Amino acid sequence: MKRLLHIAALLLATTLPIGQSVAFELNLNKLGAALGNIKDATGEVDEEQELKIGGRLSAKLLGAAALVENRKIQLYVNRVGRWLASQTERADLEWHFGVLDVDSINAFAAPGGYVFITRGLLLTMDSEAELAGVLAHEITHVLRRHHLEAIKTRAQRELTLNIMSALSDDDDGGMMDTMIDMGMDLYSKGLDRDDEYEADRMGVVIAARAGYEPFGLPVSLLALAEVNSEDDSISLMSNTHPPVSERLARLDELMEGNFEAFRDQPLASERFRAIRQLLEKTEH
Amino acid sequence: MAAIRLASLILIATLAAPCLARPGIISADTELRKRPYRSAPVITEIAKDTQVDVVRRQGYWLKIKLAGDDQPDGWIKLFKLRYEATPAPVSTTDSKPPASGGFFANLARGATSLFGSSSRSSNDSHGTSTIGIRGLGAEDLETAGPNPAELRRLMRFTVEEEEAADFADEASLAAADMDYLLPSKGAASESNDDSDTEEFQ
Repeated sequence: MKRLLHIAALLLATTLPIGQSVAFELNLNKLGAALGNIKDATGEVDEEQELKIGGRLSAKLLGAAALVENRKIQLYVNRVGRWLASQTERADLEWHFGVLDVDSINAFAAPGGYVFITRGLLLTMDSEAELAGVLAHEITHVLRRHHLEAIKTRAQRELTLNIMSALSDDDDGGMMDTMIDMGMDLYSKGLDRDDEYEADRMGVVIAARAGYEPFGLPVSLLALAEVNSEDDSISLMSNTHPPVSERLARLDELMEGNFEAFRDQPLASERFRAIRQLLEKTEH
Repeated sequence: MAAIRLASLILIATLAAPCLARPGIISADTELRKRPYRSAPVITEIAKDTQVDVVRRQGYWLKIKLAGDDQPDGWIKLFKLRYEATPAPVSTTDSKPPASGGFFANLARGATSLFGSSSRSSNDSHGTSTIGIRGLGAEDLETAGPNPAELRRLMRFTVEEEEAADFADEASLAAADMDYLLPSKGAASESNDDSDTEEFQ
């Protein structure tokens, strides 16, 4: 970041008449503040910025898909999710889980502790262990700051390319808006594949830690493998994730022999089915 | 026509739900073991594409029976069963939401589904609401504006750690220790080198 500022300063020094230098110094400060924001937001330290980005991103996601109108269902998913999150290194975050009222099969995470699952995906499941597996996958995206890191990388690249326009930005808010747009773009284009594999890998462990039968995630993926990947209901998820067959193959290698001790843990199917029935009855 | 064929397929699958065992296909050469453990004695080798009947799941293992009379039963690994995509619906506008759990997934889910608890197979009933299918695609994400009111609503469902622990307790979920696992050897190319992307093309 420092180096970027130096380059910017050099550029300005060589191209601008002396009279304008004061004004640009101010802008330069502004740029420094904006860059600093990004740095803080994505560093290990500043959780405040992470929460801000997560909240803004979630508000926008909720603009594309509202929540299912049923308190019982929303509380249920929050309880499962919070219990899972409690088994992780970021147990102290304030976690929020939401069921989106769309039939498409998908799930999302946003920085700072936001996790969303669609009605469509919930309806493909048959046990709380499956739900736990999928939520734990999303929780991992938050734990490992996958979206935040991707946004940071893109923001830095963008800034390097568009340094002059960044300088003329009216306020720091423009920078935040850009980052939110980048985050939304990630939802339609997808994260790095390795991030997805990591989320699978850590997700099954988190589910096992939380006391669930640990095969929920692969069993849920098996169900998705039967939906044609070009079907409208699943095309966004298919386009933004590695092939289900490859994810299953990797889970196979990972899980063999490592989860035997947990295999008699509960599936918690009964109470899950009650919620699923409620969801089936809850109108759009 | 295709829709009718699809419907009859679904019907057959639904009717077949209460059966004890269902046919499946082996996805890769594997061993049939006497018990659901890696160290259990091998009964026989099973070749890829072999037809089998799946009886139930226990964790990582599926109990299966080779097709035909006098054929042995035994255990194979969960991931050795083949899963296949169902054909895409002809029309996307009037298609029902994706069936809750397909054929192979239900097999893999084990005894509870297999033995026709059928909350699942009967839930085709929710497919009757064929109107108002709501999607969420890339375009919806691109054009979305923020909905702060809905975010505030989300906050109202937030659950405290203790409440979640009580809830876990109610289902006899006990926290267990386990370290994260490193990528398995076969998936070692987790680096960002270009060769990694090729295998997915």
